[in-house]
Amino acid sequence: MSKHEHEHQDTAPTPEHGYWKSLRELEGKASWQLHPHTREFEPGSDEPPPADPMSRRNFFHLMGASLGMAGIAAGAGCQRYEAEKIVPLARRPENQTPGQTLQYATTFELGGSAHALVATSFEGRPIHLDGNPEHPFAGGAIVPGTKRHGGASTFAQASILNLYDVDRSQTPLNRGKGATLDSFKAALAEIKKGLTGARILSEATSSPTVAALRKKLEAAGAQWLEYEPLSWDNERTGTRTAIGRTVRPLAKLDKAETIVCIDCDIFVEHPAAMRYNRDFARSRRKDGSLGVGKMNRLWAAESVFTNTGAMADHRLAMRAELGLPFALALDAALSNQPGPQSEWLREGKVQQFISVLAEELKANNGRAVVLAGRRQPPTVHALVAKINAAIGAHGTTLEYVEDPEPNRMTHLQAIQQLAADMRGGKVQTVVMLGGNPVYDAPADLDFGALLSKVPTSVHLSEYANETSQLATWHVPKAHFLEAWGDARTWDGTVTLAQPLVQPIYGGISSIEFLSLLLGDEKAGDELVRTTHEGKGNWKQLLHDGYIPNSAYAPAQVSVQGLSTAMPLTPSQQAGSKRKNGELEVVYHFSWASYDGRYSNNPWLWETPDFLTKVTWDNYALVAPETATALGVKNDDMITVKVGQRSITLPCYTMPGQARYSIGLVLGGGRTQSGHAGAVGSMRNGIVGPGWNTYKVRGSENDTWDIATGCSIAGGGGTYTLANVQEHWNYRPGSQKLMGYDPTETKFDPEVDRRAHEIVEEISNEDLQKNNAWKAESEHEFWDDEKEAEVTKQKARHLSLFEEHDYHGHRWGMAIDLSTCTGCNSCMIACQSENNVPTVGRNQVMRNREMHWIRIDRYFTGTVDEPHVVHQPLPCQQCENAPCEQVCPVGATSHSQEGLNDMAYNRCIGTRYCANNCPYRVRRFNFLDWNKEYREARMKVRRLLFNPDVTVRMRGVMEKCTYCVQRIQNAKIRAKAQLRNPNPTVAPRTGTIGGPLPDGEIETACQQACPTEAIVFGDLSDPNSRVSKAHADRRSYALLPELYTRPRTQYLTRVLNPNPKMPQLAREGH
Amino acid sequence: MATEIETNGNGEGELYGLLAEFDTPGELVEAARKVHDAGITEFDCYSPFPVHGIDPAMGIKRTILPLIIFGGGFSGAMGGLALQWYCNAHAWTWNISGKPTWSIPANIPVAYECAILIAALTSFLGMWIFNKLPQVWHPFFRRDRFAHVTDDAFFIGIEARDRRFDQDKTTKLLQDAGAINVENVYLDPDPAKKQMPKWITAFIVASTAFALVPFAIAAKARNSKSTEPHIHIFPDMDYQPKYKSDQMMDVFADERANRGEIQGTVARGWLTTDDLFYRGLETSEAGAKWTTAFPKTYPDGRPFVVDMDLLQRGRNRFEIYCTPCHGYDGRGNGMIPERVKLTGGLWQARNLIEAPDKDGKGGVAVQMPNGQLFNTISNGYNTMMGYAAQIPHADRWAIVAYVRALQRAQNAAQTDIPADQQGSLR
Amino acid sequence: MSTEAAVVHEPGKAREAFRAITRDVSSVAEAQKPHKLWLVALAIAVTAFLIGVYSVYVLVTTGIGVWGNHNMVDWAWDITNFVWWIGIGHAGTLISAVLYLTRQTWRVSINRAAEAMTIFAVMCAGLFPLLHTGRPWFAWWMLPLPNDMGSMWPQFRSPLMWDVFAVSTYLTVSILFWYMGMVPDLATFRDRCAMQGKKIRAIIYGVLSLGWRGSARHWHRYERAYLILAGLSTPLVFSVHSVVSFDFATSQLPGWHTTIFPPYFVAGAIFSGFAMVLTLLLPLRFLFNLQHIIKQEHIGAMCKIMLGTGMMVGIAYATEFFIAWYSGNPFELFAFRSRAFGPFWWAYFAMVSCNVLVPQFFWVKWVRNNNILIWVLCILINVGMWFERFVIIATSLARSFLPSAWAHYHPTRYDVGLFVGTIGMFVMFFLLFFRFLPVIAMSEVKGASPEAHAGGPATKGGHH
Repeated sequence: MSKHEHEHQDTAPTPEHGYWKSLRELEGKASWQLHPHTREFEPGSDEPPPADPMSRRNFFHLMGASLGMAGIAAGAGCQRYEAEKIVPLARRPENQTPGQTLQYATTFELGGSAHALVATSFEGRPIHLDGNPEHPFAGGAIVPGTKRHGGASTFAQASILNLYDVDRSQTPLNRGKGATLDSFKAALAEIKKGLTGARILSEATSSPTVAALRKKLEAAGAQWLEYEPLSWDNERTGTRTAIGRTVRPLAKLDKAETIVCIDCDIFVEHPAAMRYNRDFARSRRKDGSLGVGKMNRLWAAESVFTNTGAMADHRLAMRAELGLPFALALDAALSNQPGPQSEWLREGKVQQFISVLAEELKANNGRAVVLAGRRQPPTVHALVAKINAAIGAHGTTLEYVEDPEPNRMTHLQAIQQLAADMRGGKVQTVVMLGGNPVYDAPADLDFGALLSKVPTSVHLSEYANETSQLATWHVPKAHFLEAWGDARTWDGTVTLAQPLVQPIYGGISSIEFLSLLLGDEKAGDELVRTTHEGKGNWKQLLHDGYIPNSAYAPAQVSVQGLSTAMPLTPSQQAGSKRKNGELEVVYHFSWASYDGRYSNNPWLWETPDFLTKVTWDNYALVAPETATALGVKNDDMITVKVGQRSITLPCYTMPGQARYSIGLVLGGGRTQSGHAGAVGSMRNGIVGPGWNTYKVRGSENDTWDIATGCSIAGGGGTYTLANVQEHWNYRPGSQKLMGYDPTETKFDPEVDRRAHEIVEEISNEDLQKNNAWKAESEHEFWDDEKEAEVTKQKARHLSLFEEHDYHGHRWGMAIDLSTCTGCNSCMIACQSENNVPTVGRNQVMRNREMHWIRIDRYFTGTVDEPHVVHQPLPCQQCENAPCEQVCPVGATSHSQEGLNDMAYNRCIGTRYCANNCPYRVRRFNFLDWNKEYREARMKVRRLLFNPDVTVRMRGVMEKCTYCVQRIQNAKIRAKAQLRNPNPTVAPRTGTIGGPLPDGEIETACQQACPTEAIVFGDLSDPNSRVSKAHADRRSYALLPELYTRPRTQYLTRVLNPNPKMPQLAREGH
Repeated sequence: MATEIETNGNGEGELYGLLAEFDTPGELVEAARKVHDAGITEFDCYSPFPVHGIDPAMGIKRTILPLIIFGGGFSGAMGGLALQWYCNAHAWTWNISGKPTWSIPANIPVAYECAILIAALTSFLGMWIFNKLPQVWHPFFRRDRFAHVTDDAFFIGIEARDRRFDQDKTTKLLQDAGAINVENVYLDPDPAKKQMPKWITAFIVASTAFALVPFAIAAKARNSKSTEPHIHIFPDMDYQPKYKSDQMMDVFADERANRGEIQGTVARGWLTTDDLFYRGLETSEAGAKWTTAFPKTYPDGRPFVVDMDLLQRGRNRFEIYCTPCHGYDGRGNGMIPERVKLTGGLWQARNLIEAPDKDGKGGVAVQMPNGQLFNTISNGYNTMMGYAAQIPHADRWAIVAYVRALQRAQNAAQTDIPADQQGSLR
Repeated sequence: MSTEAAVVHEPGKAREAFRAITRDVSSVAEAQKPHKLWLVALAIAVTAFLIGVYSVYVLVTTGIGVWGNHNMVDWAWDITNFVWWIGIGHAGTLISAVLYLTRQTWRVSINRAAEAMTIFAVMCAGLFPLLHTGRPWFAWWMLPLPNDMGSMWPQFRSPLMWDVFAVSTYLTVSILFWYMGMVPDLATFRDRCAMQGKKIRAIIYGVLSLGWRGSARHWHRYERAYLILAGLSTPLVFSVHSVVSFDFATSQLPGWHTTIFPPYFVAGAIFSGFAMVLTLLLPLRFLFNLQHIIKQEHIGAMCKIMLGTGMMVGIAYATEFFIAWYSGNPFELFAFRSRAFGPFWWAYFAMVSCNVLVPQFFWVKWVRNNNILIWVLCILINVGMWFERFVIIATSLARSFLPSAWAHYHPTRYDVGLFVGTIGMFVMFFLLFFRFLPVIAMSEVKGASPEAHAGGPATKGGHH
């Protein structure tokens, strides 16, 4: 728009086009330097840019709408298609083919642990992130002999959204006011003087380059401190007490037959979660195979219901503080000593749990491992080390590796010490690399107040967040996709980060910043390169994305003389029944904003929590029984009192939450977040969604992770949490006639009944005993012999008409419920691949979320000890798709390859198809979800859209396409290579349109799935993984009695309960 | 007789007929029968409602309308079926829910509705057509009493053109039949009144003209050129907030959405370390020089063999990318240089097969080592552009091989031909 | 017949009777000033209509999102209203066609108004399928028109396509039927206006009446055509609502997927249709005092029909439950259980009480004679029938196969606004019709009156 022409004259960044100037300057230079070919356009870059087309597009939409109402084209005569200019390159880089993407290995660090990634780039713009399959720690093949595969966590994938986030900091701030990088550099001279005695507070980082620079800084007299609100230091400390050395335990779950998790989420929260997922999947089904066989057994004792608990064969809901008695008792049971004195341990359930477990551990000596979570105190970790030694885990299922910095003080000590020094006025200069201590430091330190007292404070951060506001200087930090860097995965493998794009908002990376601080202004690539000189061919290393054999050295350790005389608190000695005021509060990471850093990331906020299925808010988790006892209800605003501090936030009654343990989800209520809060969660200004639970998280007498003696009180009114699945306790209508359980100890009987039909489950034992068992025959309406006949001779007794037969490809998908941990990775992957919009809290409450693949969660059993099943649900791509026959304009029809295609441009939006879809996977654009992106300020965000996928307008239906764009691209590639007798890659067999090699095409969800639970391929190829999966006796179709013949089939969830334990309510049906 | 009527001097036009009014429907029926019995045919009865028993009395024959309506209904049904067959089973046969493209049951409702629609339309229109309605003017309307025919009055009208018509006799006949009043109806003397009223004509003409406007526009637009892009009526995702290849993005200085590759980064599959294959260079401690041979292997390790396949591929690529300038035989007589020649230009394409003269002058292409030829294809030479982005490495090598073959073939001597094929020459 | 004929034989008597009919009916349209109540009613109707227009504007410019519909309940008020209006649209043609074929002379008193009602109701109904589409400006893609997208045609397996044809046919035929019946009466208006010297009106009515002059030869063909049209409309009436019910019957959804729907829907349609006829006619009959034309026994007859159809609907409800239980299909069974006792139980009980219990009052003669009471009951029946459609559509969708897809539904003010708007439009049109067109088929009333045979052969001892 005309606004633009004048924009680059004024220096003061306006909120609307803040990035504008910086972009033009910086990008102008960059493209000049990096792409000589842009010279031919360089003069043009001074001329005013063309009028913004979007505003006109906006107008088109409105006009079209009003026309639609008029129903006539009259008056539209004046409006014509806009002439769009293209700017092709005269000399295109060798590796850039129009419309084709390139992949680059890069890395992303979260909480001091690297995630090895592969970024997909379209014309120099990253548009999608995936795990690096080649990476020795993060990648690999679960099923031997299949393609290497790397999953990626939701955080890793969604972090690409921050790259294009218009709320990212765009200029340095001096005392909260706009400044320039040059003025900062000028001020830096002063800061450098005070480097001696300066404190550098960094996020936890494993980057070797940072470490190198850090040494120089420390040499210069600066003190280096690291702080993470979600820290695994307890494990570190505990292990050290047990072993006497700082080493890091690293479980080898693929070798384990018994896995015990004490308040530990190995699937999402653990820094090695992605690897643990893979290894778990491998030993869950022997080598990830389909057949019946040896499988591991997962035991979980935890307070907050996590994915680990959901996957567990046996789960014990226990208050987190009871981890110690539990560990002691387990240790005692293993060494046949009398356990500690605790009422709780004498409770039948617990007793049985521990005794059977101990028995099994003994039996599985050398094939078992015990893991404790980050919340558990060092003592528990020490005990766990001892137990692992006892069960012969050392060297077999558990490995210890040397810690890179043995003498680092814990994150908590670090922040406490810094606070003390600040209070003592010892600190003149503090430099903060990333992080947001003002928001997430322990509440009792009152870090904000202290910081504002420090004369000079510099904060390098992607966002101008709470801390930046109080620091004297804020410097925008480059996104990890904009900067060179390196980091180490949890095992220590050095993983390199390549930039995919020039800093869009002109940020600088932390290593560049540090070298700036050191006075030698080195570029990022130089810094990283020098760090890794001589580690091999540099190009090769970048190409692969990691440095081989760079993992931490394994440590030979032994546990000796750990006294188990550990005093129990009265509360730990008591039973599971507590009174208000004796409650414990545990702090749980947020599925959406992690520790608060993703507060401005709509993808993550709208992806429902793994088990509560709540979006756009954080909350307090309360066990239903506890809630009833203390007189609070779901969606009540409750006041949680921890010591002297208290917070009021909504209550979510969560079945399976440990009784009298309140789970406070962190990462909400950011005050300097961004517009996502406003757009998504109806907050004012830049306040992020949710409630700031850090307010009550203090560090005095070890209440940082688990606080005891807490109380809750209702009466704060109610607040509806946006839940994508109706709350388990939503029981409308007549209690009696609908067969609800008035005491609310049981779930809705109908849901329970259907859950059994929808999610097949069987115990490994039954599966092996009964060779005739077939998942399909579980369904009374289904007879697979008949089915076979039908396909053979088109018998008519199932179908009323000649069935359509398919030639060539028959795409299909299989989802293994045995290994689906419900980690949501597939949802984010799909969102990123298919331009799936977010709709915000209000619309989610109206059931209008747009996810093409959702993960259904069903509770069965009792409310107190629920059994949970996950079921990823994309479009089932039925061969007899009920949606198609009802569309009046044939906007959805079947492709020759059996895909249920959706022609957006033909859709008139009757929504009849969605009504007739028994799986309810169709999604309708009720409003213009992409309206936002037509605003001029959101232009940069548009760069993220996948150009191969339509950005749907309002009024059209959409749904999962099996990533048809990927299928087509693969076919075109194959065709191109087939034409060539001397292809640069090995020639393919088969004819054009014939079978592509299995695994050539991966759907986004499949690619992201860390456990390879999702398999996609060609059913016409009998040897493809998906064909084998469909042929497996565990395989069944959803709602087969409707005879929709879905192309997506599910593999029965196989559980492996210990026969000595009470059988799950689910089994034997 | 008739002449008398014409010459009556009461200022009226010629006599149209007689109009007799009756009191009750019953009497109307009786009278009608009498008139009919009297053998008069050109007569009609008029009543505010269909009078019971009038048809036999007047000897009206049953109308054939029902037959026509049946025809309409039947064709409607058939048409409905045909439409659906054409749409879903012929013109656009597609796989919908795996159902057969042509299955009668699903088509019954529409066919049924079509049948009723057409039948209804036939009965409605047919009735008016048979009744010769609309006809808003009629001589009887000139008699005020006739206005009561839609209220409470009953009439018999006999037209003068009936061959048995005789003013006096007929009048008497009607009076005997019980008419309470018989009057003569004359045509309007004003001839204009005989035609359709002007405003109706005007209206019909106007509306017809208006209906032709679209066709006129179409006719005008036919074969006409317009520099304007065509009119955009309805939004249909024609503009999406995403960037496809080579689109403009005005927030960046170079105004490209294409941000290019960052220097020093390595994309998957683009680790081009093998200098021989990717650059045609032989590197040794002495330094790099153009290779005179071919690569030994492909990057994936398969051996690189110069065989017929490779040459065929090379020829195929050569003829796509090179012939426009260098010509099919490589003499530099491609379309473009030929055209330049025609337009009197001086530029000409390199002759690839020209052999160097005895003191090594000319024949640049022949003298180039393979590596340099490869590099020329990749990065260009003088005015020639590089083709790196268009032609994959392997294909470039194939072209090099083919060019070598061309040069060899074009500069071959008698002796180069294998002895066993010498004879085939003439 | 002969006796009455004998009574009225004196000259002029019969004509007097005919004249009276003409006068009474025409007086409605010829009144110099419209009735105050009429004006008030019109004002209210127009206001409601404008509310509807605004709602449509917001809907089309903002999107379906302004409604309460969502990804789990994709149809709610929109299609509920559509089916409801179509249902109401059924009494008209039924009364005129079916009762005509069965020679129910009493129909003549109400058929004209009923037909008009049909047309306006179908117009309202037609709005919803059009407006409920996400991109209404492309709704014409449902017509089999040649297009620039190559051979891209509608998909005739879709019940929505059947709807397109059924509803449009129904509207067309109803209009033809209505207009054809009206022509002789328009001619009457023409002549009266001409006599009273109202030239403009005379011309307008003249054009509309196509120069009708009551010729016996015309009457002959006219009656044939009219009879056949009636004969065609009768199966049409039944087909239209059957087709509408196919939208649900041919689908997968438990609670929709029921073979009983076609008869059940037709019965319901007639039921609601008659209720609406009375809702409209009772006040107007009083307003324009047509008591001696729309006689009490006519109203009574309609009450009896409602009683009958009401009980049919009741049986349908019972059958659904029986089959749900008898089929042993757990999904079906649950669908109906949650219908009655689940989230929308109140809607279900509103429906049952209004549609099954209320009509039972019509057993009592006293009720059938108490017009105010009848009117109230009819309103209740209309409400009940609306809830029937809502229950079928919304509750079934809210409890589909997968529990993860269970959801609740709340309407928004735009849902309500549009519904109110259509009611306003309906009443508005009806009031205008009452003011300017012959509300009662005069020629038919005359033909059906005893005087129609005055002076006939019976009195003349003629042969017949």
